[in-house]
Amino acid sequence: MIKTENLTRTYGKGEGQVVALKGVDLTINDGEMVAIIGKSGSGKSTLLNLIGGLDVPTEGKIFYNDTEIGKMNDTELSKFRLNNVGFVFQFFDLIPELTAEENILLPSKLAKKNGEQADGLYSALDINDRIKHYPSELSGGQQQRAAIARALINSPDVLLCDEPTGNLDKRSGEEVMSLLKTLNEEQGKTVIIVTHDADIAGQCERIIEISDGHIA
Amino acid sequence: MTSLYILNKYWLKHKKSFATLLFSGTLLCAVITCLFLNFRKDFITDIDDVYDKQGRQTLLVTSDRTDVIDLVTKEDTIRGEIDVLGRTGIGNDTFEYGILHDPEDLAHLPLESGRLPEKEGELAAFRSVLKTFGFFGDVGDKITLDTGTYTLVGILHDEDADYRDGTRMHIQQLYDDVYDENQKEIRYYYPMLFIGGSSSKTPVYTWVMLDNIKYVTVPDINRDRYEKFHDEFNDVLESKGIEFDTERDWQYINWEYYPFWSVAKTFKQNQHKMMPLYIVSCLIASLSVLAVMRNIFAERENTIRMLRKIGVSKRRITVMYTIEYICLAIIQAAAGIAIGSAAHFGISSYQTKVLSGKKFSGFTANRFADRLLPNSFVIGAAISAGVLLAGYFLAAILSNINTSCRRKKKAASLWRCAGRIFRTRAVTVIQITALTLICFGTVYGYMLFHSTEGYYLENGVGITLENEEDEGKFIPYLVTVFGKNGQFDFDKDDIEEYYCTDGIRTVTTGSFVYSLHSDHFNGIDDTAVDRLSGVIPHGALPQTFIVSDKNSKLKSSIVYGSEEEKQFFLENSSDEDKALLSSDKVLYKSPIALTDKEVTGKLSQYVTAGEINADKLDSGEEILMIVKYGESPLALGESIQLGAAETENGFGIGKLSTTEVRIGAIITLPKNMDKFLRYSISAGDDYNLLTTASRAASMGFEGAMYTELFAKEAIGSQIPLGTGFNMTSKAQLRHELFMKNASFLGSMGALLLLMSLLGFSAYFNGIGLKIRLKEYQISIMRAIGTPIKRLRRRLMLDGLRIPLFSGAAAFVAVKLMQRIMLSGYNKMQEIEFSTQQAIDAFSSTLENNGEGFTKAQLAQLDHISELEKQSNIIYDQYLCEQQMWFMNAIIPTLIVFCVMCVITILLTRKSFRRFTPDIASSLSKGRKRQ
Repeated sequence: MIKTENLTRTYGKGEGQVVALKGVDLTINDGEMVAIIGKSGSGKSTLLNLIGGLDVPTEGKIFYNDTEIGKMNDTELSKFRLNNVGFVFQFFDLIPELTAEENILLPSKLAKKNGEQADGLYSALDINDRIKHYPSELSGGQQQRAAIARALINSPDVLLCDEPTGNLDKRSGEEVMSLLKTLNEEQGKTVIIVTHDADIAGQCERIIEISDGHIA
Repeated sequence: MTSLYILNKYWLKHKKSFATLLFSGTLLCAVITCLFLNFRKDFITDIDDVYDKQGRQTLLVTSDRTDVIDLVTKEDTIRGEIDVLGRTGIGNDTFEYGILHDPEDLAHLPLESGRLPEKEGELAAFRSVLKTFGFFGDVGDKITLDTGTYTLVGILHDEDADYRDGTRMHIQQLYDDVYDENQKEIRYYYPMLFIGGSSSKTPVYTWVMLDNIKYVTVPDINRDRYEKFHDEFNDVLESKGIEFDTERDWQYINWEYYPFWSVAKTFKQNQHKMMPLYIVSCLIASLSVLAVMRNIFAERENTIRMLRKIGVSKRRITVMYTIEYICLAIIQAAAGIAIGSAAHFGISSYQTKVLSGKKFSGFTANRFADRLLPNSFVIGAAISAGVLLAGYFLAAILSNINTSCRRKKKAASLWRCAGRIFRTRAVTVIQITALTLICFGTVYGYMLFHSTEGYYLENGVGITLENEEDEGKFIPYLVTVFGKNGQFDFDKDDIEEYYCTDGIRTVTTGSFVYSLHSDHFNGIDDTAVDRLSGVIPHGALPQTFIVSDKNSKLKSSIVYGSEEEKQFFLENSSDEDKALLSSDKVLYKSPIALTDKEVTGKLSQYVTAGEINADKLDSGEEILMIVKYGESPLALGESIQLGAAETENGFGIGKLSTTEVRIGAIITLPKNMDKFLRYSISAGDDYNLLTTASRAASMGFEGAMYTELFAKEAIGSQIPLGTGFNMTSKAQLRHELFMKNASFLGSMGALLLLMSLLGFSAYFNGIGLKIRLKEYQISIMRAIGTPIKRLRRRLMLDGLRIPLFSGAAAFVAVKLMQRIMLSGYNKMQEIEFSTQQAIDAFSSTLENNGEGFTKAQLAQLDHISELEKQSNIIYDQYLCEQQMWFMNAIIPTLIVFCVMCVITILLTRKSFRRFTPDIASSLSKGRKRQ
């Protein structure tokens, strides 16, 4: 279970200070598929980054199964991300110097695991014949599938997706969403998707709307 | 305007990058400007050294040759004159005197102290001349000569006078023409005495000194030019129908060729060993600029891409960067010239005021330096602008290179993956080059300084070491040695101060030494010595002899130069002396050493016959016999007739003092005895007599004074006035050494420091750039769960390969340099061996050759000369003097390597501070950079 209490994040100081999130209280249960929607700059990505430990809150607390991640140091937080969270970004964020396979296997190597489910993931994501290629040699859909495979390689309980279809055509977007739904339904993964696409949000069990840093 | 607007916006946003770039460029310009100003200063100083030796004038000719003077004079010819009024002095000691009219200092007289005379009644003279007159005073004293009484306002330095001796033969010719009587050899072409004011007396003749004359163009530093000028000049004279007698008229032509040859040689020798450091510093400074440029371009790649996307043409972008380049080049040139000039001003002031160097700087006007050296400001601005331009090109090229290494193989290990992720070849090349240069420069600097502290023993041409194991042994230069032949050492012998004075003036004819009568003798007597504690005194009377018969065991009987000379002595001696000189008695040279009672008291352990009786010694009844080698020539108790020669005027023996004395004790000195004690009681080669100074004086030996003092502690204030002692102290020598090292080490240390700062700035820029370029990748790694510590550690280990590689490269470069130097040295030795063989071959042909050299012999001489020239060139070019091939380069390289490793770790840590806990924003920034 993921729980936030009075979650606040501000950027900058003085007159130029921007409040991205302001006192957000939220609970997401295990195995839920949640969509976070809102306008550009409403604070939805900030919320996702804070939940995933990519950013630290200015105020408030974030609990993951009763453990407060805000109190973790960099090493503990890194370990938390490595083992419990999988990230899927809008711009895929694959390391350009590494092949798709190396990108996918990187978290398992970091966690000192053997990446045994890699082959299954390649087949499931239909990227078997592309894994030896560099990101620049892959299409957007293939890159995003590789990014999802990388997010899943250490079997995390939570998948955090920041506009995962934002950079894909309609067909590729549908494929990715279908994949995420399968992961949620069949493997019970908690999936949190940040989007401003109503269709995608409509495919989720729950929709949380963020407006001006608040839950609407 | 749009371009300027974009530029302005860019620089306002990246003030730090702008400042870093300006800093590097300005520093490069400052280094070069300062370096060339220093070159200029050294060059001017070297020219002045040459002028010290031979004056400044290009042509020195007598005033009666107006035809020659008119011929060579042009609008800006500089002229000076010396009116020689005749001879003056004291008695027979006379020298030329004259008035100097030389506003441009063409005579360039080397002043030891004071100034040149300006008013009537003022006088300046060479030190040796003053000594000839028996004048031991200083500037400000009055001196009476045949022509009047003068105030001494300046003393000219004698040391350089010998260099001016080359013209003596030409001058002698003129001199013979001018004076009919009292012919004496003259040493200088200038008068020996200079008076001030204007004299109503008509000059005997006038020297005209000319500089910047016609027909002298800037010569190449080679012999051909010299010959060309010579021929040109003769041709012109011939065409004008002017008779020019080289021996008579062309008294001295100070060819521009000659000073430049000398200056170029000295200058080259001085700068040669520092040249690698200069080059390395400039390369590092350039690298620093390139590193910053690469850094800036890495940041602006996105901007350029964006500008191109919105339709800005390539041409416009080029114009934009050209404007930027020009602005930067101007700013860095202005700032660099100002900083470089200020740095040079500081250095030259330090050298002039603190280290008492010549009062020159790179700003001193000098037409030769203007002609032969590039303008320091122009060269500083040009090189820094050139490097900046190269930086633009290089950065532009590198920004388009994809440096990732792509190999389609099985998934690599985490370590290899990380290696590939962090790889940035172009930056790494800059970093390795910068560190290699720093390491090489520092090790070279260490070796250079080390070589000034001593030398290595080696077998070479004409040198064979007794012990083979001594080859390569380091012998430090003893900096605190003193005394005659440097046989004592302040440190080792535990002496604080050493006093020495000339003592009595003696004249030698044949083997006869006699003292010149004087009212004043330098040195101190027994009474003064007794007041000083912890002092070992020494004095000697070289003019004493023993009167004995032909069968005596005494050595070194006095012989006269010739029969005529003996006759001359007899004629000028008293009746009593005539009787002695005409008898069948033989005078044996027998110097008396003088030492005080305290020292004499320490000799009892070395007495081999008789005993030391202080009372009899004091009363003059007895004298001691000191034997250093062999047996005593005199028996214990033997009575001897002891004499000393003294003269009033330097001719004949004015006074032969003789006295009867008995040998009281014979003292045989072992070799291993205390060397001060041994020295203080010795005077001759194998044996000598010994007494105290007051006893010797009472026996009638004038000038019996202690002339050397070895003091265990500082006694400066206790030395009476008027003793003429020159003091050398441990502290003084240490200070001199410090000053010498401060000059060399100061300039080298500053250069090394600057070089390292610039190098590490380039290196640091590299680390920063690497991390910035890889910000995206690092952020992804962090996002998927890599702790920042792990990433930092990985990058540190990755970074440590750079100092490792640089250290190894620098070590290889140093070893290569050592090998090249050694090969040069071996080559030089081979040439020296050939030279020696050629000299031997030439020497063998000299026998039975009474009529000058044959053509074959002249060819041999040319060959020898050529070989010597080659040897000298190699000696200079391969820095043979420094003997760097002997030095162990491992330890300094390791030290520099360790420093580089520590700096790598610290700089990497610092660069990682840019990563905050906000991974999302860092990821976003990195993404934009991609």
